[in-house]
Amino acid sequence: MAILTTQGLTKDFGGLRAVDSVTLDIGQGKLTSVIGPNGAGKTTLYNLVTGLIKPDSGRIIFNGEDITNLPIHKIVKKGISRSFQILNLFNELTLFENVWLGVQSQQGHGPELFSNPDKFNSVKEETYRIIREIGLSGKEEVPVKLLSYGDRRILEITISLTAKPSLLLLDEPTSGLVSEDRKRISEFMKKLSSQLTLIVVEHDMDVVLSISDHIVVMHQGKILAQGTPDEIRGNDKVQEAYLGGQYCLA
Amino acid sequence: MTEFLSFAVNGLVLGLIFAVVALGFTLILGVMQVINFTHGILFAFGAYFAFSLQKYVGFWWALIIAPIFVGLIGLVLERLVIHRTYGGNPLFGLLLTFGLATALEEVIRMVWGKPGYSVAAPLFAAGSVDLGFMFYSKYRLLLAALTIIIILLVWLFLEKTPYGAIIKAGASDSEMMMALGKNLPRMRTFVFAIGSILAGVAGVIAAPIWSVRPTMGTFILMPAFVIVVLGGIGSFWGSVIAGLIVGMSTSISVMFWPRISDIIPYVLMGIILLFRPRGLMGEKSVLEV
Amino acid sequence: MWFVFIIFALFPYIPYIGRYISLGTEVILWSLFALGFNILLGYTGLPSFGHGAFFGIGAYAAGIFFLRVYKGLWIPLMMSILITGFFTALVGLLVAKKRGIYFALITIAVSQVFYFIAFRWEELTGGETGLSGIDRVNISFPNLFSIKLSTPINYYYFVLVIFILCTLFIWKIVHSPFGKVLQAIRENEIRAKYLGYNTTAYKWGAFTISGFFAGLAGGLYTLLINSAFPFVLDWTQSGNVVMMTLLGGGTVNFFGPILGAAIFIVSRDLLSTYWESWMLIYGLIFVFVILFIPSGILGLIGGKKQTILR
Repeated sequence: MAILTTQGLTKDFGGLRAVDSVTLDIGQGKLTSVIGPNGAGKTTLYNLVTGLIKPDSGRIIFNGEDITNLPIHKIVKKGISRSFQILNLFNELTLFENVWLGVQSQQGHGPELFSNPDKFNSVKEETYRIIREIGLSGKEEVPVKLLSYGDRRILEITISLTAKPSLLLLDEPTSGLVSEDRKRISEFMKKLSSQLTLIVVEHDMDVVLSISDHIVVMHQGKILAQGTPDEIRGNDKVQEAYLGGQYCLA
Repeated sequence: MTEFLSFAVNGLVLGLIFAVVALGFTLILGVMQVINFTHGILFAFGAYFAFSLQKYVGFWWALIIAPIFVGLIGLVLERLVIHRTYGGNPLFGLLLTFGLATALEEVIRMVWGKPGYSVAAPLFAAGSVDLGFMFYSKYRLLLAALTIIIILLVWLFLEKTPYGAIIKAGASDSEMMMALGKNLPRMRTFVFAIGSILAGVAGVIAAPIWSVRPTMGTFILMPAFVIVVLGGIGSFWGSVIAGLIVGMSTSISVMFWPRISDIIPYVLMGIILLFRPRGLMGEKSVLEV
Repeated sequence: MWFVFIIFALFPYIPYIGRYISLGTEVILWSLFALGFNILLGYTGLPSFGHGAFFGIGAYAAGIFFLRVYKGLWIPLMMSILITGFFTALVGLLVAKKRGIYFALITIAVSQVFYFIAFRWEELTGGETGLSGIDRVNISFPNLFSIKLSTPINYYYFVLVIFILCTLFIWKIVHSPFGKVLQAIRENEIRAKYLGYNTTAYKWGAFTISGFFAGLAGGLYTLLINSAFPFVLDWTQSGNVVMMTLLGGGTVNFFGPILGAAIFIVSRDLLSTYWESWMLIYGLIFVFVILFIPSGILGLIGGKKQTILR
């Protein structure tokens, strides 16, 4: 059962076709990895699905509903959330404030002009709980810009989770991390995939092959191949696309 | 009918002056993302220098020397203060140039006095000429010719020289300029100087048909804003075409309904922005992000 | 905060400077304007360079209503707030999706349109000569007592009371969930969207609310000088309010705008009295502040601890 479907999604930037007629089904409850060389269109695909940019043609269907031209915040409210390849946090605010803002939104308190947010116990408790769960207790008052890179990467994923999405899109979540941190994130993703549907853009093939239920390979804006990890491993076209690159699929 | 024609042609002439001023403004805005409030004052300096110099060196030499002085002033301003605001909150550049413009306007008052002056057209261009279908001021025709030449020169520079090409690219996408390397600070100073010279030249040429007053800078700056937004930030043709449109519409509306002539440019801008949020010829704008 | 209120309350009794009551009133109403404006600038990070127009609309609304509709106190002031609020809401729709330079440019353009309307629509606004004869009517509680607002000191306290109420109001707003979202937008609008906030709506809200206070300040100003002239709308007013807000430290401290307004108004008054070419200094002060104390005076004093407004 597909939680997300794209139909013929296309996006041009000037003369460049970044995403070329992409038709895709994302299975509910599964962890789908999207791989491909840089410039294959993966991030653009994310931008299209989450509403940051509008497609030139094609449709996006989420849980049976056409979300193609909806603005970002509406799509988020419907249950899609996303993390960024380049950290996109509130750097000057504290860890607590970063998480708190997400929880406040999810619990519906945003537009209130006269309430006192210090009295929102459920928001506070949930924020502390989340911070505890990701193992960053004690660092609540630290401005995010002062946290370690590994902590900030975890926060990047966590902050996207505050919206309680049913579909989470992760964009190179292990980018720039050392191997223990990679394992940490990898396990975190495995845990998450039992609770929600995940799409992960990744370059680390070990991670991809070990956690994915389904793999989609993109190249020059098109889908080159898709299938289970074993199928992809044995796929000649995919091997060819990566020839000369950094990836060894053996 | 001749009345209408004369308003229309006046509008074209006005539009040409606007276009030259707007060109300088849009280059600075596009390349450095600075809303340069001093642009109006530099225009005024052009006119005042022309006024002072013409008594001694005559029209043509004043036309050459005055803009150079203005360019120098612009250069000094840029090197000394303005460049420090690049890349920061756009409000800072705006406020800084606003402060400079206010201070400089006062300097003009201190040096040249408060009342306005009339600058006479040079003798060879005084009076009118018979165009067949109407009589028209010789000077305005000269003005039109000069501004067209200037616009052409700028076009040649932007299109046909490698340096100009980089600037032209940088005006609509300054990230591009950074990628193309070269000496960025020097390029920016150069752009500012060019912009200043354009403002100064416009001031010199416009002086005989405009009353030369300390507040003339403000009078030209507002239309410049509108033209640049209407035409598209950083766009050569956008500034030229929008300048002509604004000049014509202002002039013609003076004929039919003088009261709204001030507002017409803004109304036009508003309408165009509804359909083309980046202006007539604006391209991808770093300024929106 | 109470410290500030007490200083203002005691001001008329301070020797020497207490005599300049009208100046004091002006400081208070500009503080009000700047505080409201800072919701937009300091908290949301939107650089409006056209708020002078809203001040002016409030000023003219009060004047026009007083002279042509009802010679009262509360109704013209109410109209200042409502009519300005209306126009700010309208303009807000135009600009809410914009940011940075485009935002600034459009606010400048819009404010110019209002300026020209005030200048040219003579039947309504009195054109270049403006409106005059706008008196301050007594506040009367029937059968109880009547306060003569035409005396400077009574008007001073009247404005002060309004100021105190509004300051508390603004304080509440910026410390509410709404206010927190505004700060999030300032820090990272895209992330805020991805958290599910309709940032355009919040920006519009901040814009409109700041407009209400600008209008109120404008109306109070008209009553102060008993007239309304086109200069209340010109872009120097817009520049002034931005400068005050920055000068005092509005980008790092809630009270920055108040300090900025006080220093600005007083210096301007002093300078213009003693030197005819004071505009030179005025302009140079702008330059100085932007270059050397961009976080304002309170930012300077607060040091590295306070980098952003909370």
